[in-house]
Amino acid sequence: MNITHAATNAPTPQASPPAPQSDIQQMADELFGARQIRSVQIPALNITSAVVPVGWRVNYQEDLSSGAFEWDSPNADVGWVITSALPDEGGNIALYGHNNLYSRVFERLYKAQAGDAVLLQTEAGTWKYTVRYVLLLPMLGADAEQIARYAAYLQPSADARVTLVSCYPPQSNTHRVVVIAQP
Amino acid sequence: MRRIFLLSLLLLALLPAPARAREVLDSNAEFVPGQLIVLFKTGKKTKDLRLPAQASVAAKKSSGLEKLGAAVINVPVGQERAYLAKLAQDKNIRAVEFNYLIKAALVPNDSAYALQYAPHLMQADTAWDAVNGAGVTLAIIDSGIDPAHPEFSGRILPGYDFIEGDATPQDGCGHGTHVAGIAAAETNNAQGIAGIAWQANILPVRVLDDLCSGSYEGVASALVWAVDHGADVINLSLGGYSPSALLENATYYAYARGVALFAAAGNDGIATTVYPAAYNWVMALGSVNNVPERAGTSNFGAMIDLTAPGENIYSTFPTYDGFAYRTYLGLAKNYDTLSGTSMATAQASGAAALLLSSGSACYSTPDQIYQALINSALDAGIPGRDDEYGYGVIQINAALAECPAAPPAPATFTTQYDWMRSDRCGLSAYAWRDTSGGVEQVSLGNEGYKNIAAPFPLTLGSVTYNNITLHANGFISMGSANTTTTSAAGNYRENAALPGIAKPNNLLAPFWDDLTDPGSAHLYTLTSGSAPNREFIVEYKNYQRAGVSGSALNFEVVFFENNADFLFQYKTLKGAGADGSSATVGIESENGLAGFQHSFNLKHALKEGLAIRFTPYPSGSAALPSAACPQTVAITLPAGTPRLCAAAEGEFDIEISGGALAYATTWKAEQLAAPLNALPASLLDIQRYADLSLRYEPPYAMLSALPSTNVCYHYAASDLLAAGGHAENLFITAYTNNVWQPLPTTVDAGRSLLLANAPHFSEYSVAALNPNAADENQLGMPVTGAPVRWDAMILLLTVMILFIRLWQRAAQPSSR
Repeated sequence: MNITHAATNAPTPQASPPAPQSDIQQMADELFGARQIRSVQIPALNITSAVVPVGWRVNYQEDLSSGAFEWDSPNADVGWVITSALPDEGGNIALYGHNNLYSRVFERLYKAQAGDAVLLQTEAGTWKYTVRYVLLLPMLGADAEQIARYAAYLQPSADARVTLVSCYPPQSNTHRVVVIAQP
Repeated sequence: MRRIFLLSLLLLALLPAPARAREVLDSNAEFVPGQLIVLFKTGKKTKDLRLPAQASVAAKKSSGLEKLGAAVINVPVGQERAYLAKLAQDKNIRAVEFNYLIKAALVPNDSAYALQYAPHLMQADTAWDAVNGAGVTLAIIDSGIDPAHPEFSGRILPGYDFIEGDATPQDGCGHGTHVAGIAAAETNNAQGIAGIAWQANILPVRVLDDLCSGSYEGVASALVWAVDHGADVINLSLGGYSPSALLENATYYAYARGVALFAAAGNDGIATTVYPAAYNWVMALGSVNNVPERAGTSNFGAMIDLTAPGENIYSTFPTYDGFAYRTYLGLAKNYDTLSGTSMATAQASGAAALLLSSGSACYSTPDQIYQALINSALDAGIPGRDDEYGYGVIQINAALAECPAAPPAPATFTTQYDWMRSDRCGLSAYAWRDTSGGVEQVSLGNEGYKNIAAPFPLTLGSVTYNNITLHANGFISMGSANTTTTSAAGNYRENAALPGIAKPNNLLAPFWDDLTDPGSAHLYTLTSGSAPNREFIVEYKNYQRAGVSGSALNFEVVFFENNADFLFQYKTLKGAGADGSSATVGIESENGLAGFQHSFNLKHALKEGLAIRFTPYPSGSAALPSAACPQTVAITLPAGTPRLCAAAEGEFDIEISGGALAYATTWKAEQLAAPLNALPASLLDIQRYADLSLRYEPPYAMLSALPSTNVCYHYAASDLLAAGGHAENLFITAYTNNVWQPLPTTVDAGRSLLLANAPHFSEYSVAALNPNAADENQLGMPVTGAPVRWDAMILLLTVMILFIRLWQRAAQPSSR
């Protein structure tokens, strides 16, 4: 996501984060309705947050031949990647949240330990997962191939799992912390 | 010393590296890299294909695949899955599949147990008084054979080698020679072992390489070759876990020409399905020991037909060194022991050859041979057929006393069918039939079915039925033969391409997929109207795709008393996969050899408000019923009228925004299910395509430019989902000068439209930049924070401290 606001002609500079992604919420409501995740909870880290659907935007070059991708900001909430799974269907449920700046919802994510519970709330009930892996991925100087390998953590998987992502450490954000929880 | 050293170096260079051998012997690779197999629709050939870029038809190794209506396509290595999806959309192709690897079915075993218990256990020794296999051709499709082994003297027919493409099927593995010995080694020759059909002629066909591995394509080619070269019995001591339309057709090719087939169940000791053993027309062999008890490694399940001795079987090996089983497993040359369902299969093939050599008319078809072996088998395990032993252990002498009747041939389609969609053809309009006041059909159960009487005789493929069977998984089978349509265990049978010989057959499939009842599903039937113009309606209401809560399907099949058409209608298709992307839609004959498929696992194939009408027409008729209905109706845009986009969701249209047309214009938009030209990998294909044409013809010599014309696309929520959730990520693209050219696109969110100025009219599509291309522009990991600028903060702090000091210094004099 974009951390510096693009220059706009708005009369007052925006001090608050970008407006909520209402179009994507509308799309998710139409396609997934009550199946969506409403909140995430990691009791061991004292994390409780609402969950909103997130996708990505492409900032196209003028000729549309290439462009820069950026993930949507979940603002103060935790984002559920719309192309990932939902609890009732198995597969990889990908969630990410801010660690500084806009919000600090996942500031303590790196403190997760194997065995911690991750609870996802849908209208159908609570889905419980247990943390199995906590990975720290160095991003500084990572090449395209490495980034593609990291990005695979957000791709569909055959097994049911929750993948939680945030930046680390809070001062420099040179790494990503990836927490994988399984039912 | 030096000489010996050199020699051993040379030997090492000639032999395959052991590491590679191990890798291949226990390889996890699924299929041959860079290859796909396509099966054509009836009458179609390789030249009809529109291959995507970088795909080509592989050089033909034999005429076998051609006879099966199949071909190998070379595709870029590592992109087999992507090309599989692309090729599946070719209208000329019935099925596309990987060229799966296939392996010899044995358990490597170093036991020195050398007692030949099998001939006696199977009553071969008593049968030998009457029969010996003479005059029967037994094809061994395997790793080849050592023709120099004295046990085969004078009985090896000229074979073929599909690994090297020559006429010398040498054995570099050892498996083929072992299997051949079990089935047909010389008996009564005072040496070695006794084969079951010891006077049979052996037709060796090599499909497994020096590391005992091969491909489905090789096995299929070999099956056709063996049949065409006079095989009476075919031994297939090999198998794979992936089903394959190619292997299905190839084995059926043999069976339909009167050849009995025996195949191994595999040696992983699990309940599973192995191909080709699992096909109905192939006998699947499990393995037993000398007790007889099922070998622990012998696979089991509904496919098992028979069992035969496979544990510790002593048989022939090549007379030379350097075959894989000797090099890597240390087995002896000339003779040694192996275990597995491969060995059991060879015993069964030998048994079939013995029956055939009796010359009796009782064994003139494969079904009669199978029935004789089944009726006479020694029951083991649970009484009757069971999943561990099948019908039991083969008893050859008892089988010789059996004389089964030849079964009647099943009916096939003698009429052809054509289908028409309501959105493409005025002859097939959507008109939903309400079933209220009808009968609710209950207690089908999940994966279940229910047989009901039809209100009037129903015709499918010129066969008339008075009963039909309704299935919970979205299809209807004609007649009441339930066993042809559900598996023994009552599990969901994966939906397949039509036609396919594997069951279920004889069906109408409006939405064959794994469906469940969320608690609110209903199945209604209603007979409406009055004779002789009645209609019979079957409605599936509120069904759900298994595992997709929130999905809802409501569709119906209409039968007509006054004609033999079938109408499929779709009222509600909600939720992931409801567009037919994991369903089979079509009809199929009783034996599965004929069928007419609308779509198979095709995205966007179905939509709400769609009707598909299947209409019969005489075989050989030149004109298809759908020829009377143009694919798309051209619209005349009158002069003086602007046009607003009228595209339905997922479709393209035009919008003339720059003023009214000065002259009447013809507009035609054909929405395509598959692209005529594949999109490049750099683009995320949203899989919506259309062929657009606009004929703007001002009178001669009258210069009048076409007003600014936009192509519009009405996006659906599922399109946004695929493209990151934002309509701004999408653009319209036009096929221009042989490339897909992205067009500057604007979003009209209020009308859910993408609009782009049309440079010309041709094939159009919708795409976004592919986020997963592994380059510096990829989507990658989210950034969830910003680095804190410590350097800037320290600088600021330093400046502030300096400023304070200066201020203090300046302030000091005044304080004095």
